[in-house]
Amino acid sequence: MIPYLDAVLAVVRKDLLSEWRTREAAGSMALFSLLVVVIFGFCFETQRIDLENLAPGMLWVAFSFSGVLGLGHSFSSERVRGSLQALALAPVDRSAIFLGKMISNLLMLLFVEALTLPVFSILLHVPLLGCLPALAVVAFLASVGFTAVGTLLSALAASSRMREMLLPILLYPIWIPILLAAVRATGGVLAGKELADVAGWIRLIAAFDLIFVTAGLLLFDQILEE
Amino acid sequence: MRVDRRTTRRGGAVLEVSGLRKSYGGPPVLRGVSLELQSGEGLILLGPNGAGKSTLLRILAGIHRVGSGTIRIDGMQASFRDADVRRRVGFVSHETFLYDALTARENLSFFARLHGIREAGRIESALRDVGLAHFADRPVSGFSRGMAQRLTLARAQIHRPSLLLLDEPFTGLDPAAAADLESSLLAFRREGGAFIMATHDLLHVVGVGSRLLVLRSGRIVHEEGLESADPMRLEAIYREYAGVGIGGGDG
Amino acid sequence: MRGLASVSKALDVLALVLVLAAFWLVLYHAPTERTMGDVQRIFYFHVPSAMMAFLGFAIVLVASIGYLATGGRGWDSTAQAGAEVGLLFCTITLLTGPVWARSAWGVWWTWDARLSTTLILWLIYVAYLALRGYMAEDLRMRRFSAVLGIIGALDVPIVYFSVRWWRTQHPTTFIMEREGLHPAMAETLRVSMIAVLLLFVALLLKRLMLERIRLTAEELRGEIETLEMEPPMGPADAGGAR
Repeated sequence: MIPYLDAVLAVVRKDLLSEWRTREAAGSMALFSLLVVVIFGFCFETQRIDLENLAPGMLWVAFSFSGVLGLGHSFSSERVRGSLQALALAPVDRSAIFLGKMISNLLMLLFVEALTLPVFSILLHVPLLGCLPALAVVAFLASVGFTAVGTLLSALAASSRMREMLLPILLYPIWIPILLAAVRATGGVLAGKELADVAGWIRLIAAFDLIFVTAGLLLFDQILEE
Repeated sequence: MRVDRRTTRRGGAVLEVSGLRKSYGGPPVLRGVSLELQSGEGLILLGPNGAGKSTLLRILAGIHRVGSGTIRIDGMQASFRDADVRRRVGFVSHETFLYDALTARENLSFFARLHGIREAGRIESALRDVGLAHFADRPVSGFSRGMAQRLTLARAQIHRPSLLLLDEPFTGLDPAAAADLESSLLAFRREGGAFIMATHDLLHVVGVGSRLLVLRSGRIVHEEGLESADPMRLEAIYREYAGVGIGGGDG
Repeated sequence: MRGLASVSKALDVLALVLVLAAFWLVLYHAPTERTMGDVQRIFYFHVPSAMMAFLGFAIVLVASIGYLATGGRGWDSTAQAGAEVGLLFCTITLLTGPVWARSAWGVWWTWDARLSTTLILWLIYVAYLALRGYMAEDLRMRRFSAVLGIIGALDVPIVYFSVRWWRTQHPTTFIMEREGLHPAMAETLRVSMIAVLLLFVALLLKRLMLERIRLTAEELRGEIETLEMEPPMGPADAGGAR
């Protein structure tokens, strides 16, 4: 158990350290997320933005688009010097590699979300302060599901000819139902509802998380094998 | 310096392969390869592209699955998912497997932790062994090809494997770096390790290897000792078996 | 193979006869629906097609698990055939749905729960086939598509619940009442259901046989290539050939 956790943490630490040095992924993710918000600001009448329907959709489109950038980078960076093979050589259960990659992807996405939220709130006049804790719960849970299935599919797409082009094509159809749930739950929260009022959606997201984290742990081995 | 390298049996067979076959869904890449490797041996693998050299190394490393046949490493039956087997094997390819943004020390400590090694002393001594102690805190992105290859050797040996697998390790090395690699390989043999190296580079074969195998179309077609061979004879073997002018995809 | 071919031929004929019979029943036997008129007749092919789409995707799931568990090539071919034929019927569902929607609600598309679910499934399995198309055909492609086949199927219940709750949250749900189906309508539906099922099986079988022929051809080609490459075995032949 200890070597397993050690390997997970080693991968997380390695990814975050690389990121800290290069600022490649999180930087472009944050910038892209900001751009999406700004584009929405120009495209829609921001004075009368519909809190329950339009705002959460904009927010999650920004998260999904920038999230896919980070996921794509996560495994394309492992192919630059062939290091994915070195990960496959490690004498640990390969699910540890999946977990490490997933956690570092998750942390990166949460970081970008935290940066996006205040900008979103100010530019699009969406009051967030009151509902921040509830919003954080929704965003965290949905991001777990997104990175779980995204990490698995990113590893898969990175080994194909199309690389990053393929990832959104594979990921978004599977992500749509949870995007829907996240948008609905966020809409409820923004409209001032309690978490308990959107419990159905939260449960659905949690079920998705559970299913796809498990699937990732079980199936990653099949993908890491070249 | 590295006397405690191998805790496993000394002087015995490090690797026993019998009847190894493999196909990736198309025509077979390996058609029944059998070989044995003793502690302290250095096996050179020659053959044209597509002969199955890389495939053989990757299967032995546990990156690819065994098709059929058996592999025993240090006397243990090796299966694809077996972490214990991966612990005994080090792998060097023409790619470095290193992370450019990290320093030499950070790279090594990452791979050490993946192998469950926590002592910092191991990393320092590994850096010293490959002569990179002074560059330990420089990011790998600034390393020359030769330095990166030395660090790669340290990476592949950080867990003190008994079997080292090398796939075209001389690619892109200048003469000085190639000489470094040769002496590291000889040191590895002296300490009781065994290696298999796939290469096209006949120049370095005589110095480091003890035996030569020619692989062609997934079969071993020639085998000979290297202790007394001269380069001219090798050249002839290479021309005859490795099939100059016969191409094909990379195995 | 020969036996399979004659089974397939018999199925083709049977499917053809039944589909024609179903057409006749749909046009002449089933009464005209009161509110929607003749357009309602599309329902006899729309509903069975939707079911076949689900059947196809269920085959992808089972065959993908089978492939990862055994590594048997037949499983992979089955998953591929299931996805292709399932996607065909999914497309039919998505094309006939709007025809219905147009006359029932006055719009070509409606984000009703069933249609939306079908659309998402369609996207998932298009992605599945895209992955197969974009990768070189080898063991890795088969394994990867099996992984995607499983993930896609795992998503189906989530899609179902998500879309249903999403629709019920909105006031504009359309309730399709199917109770009190006229006996002649029920008979027609039953026949068209069997006809479409037979068509599905016939197509699946055809696809599988085609794949088998293709794989055999490829194997033969590979053998010829290696024979051409084979070195004349010299006297120094040593080591490991079997």
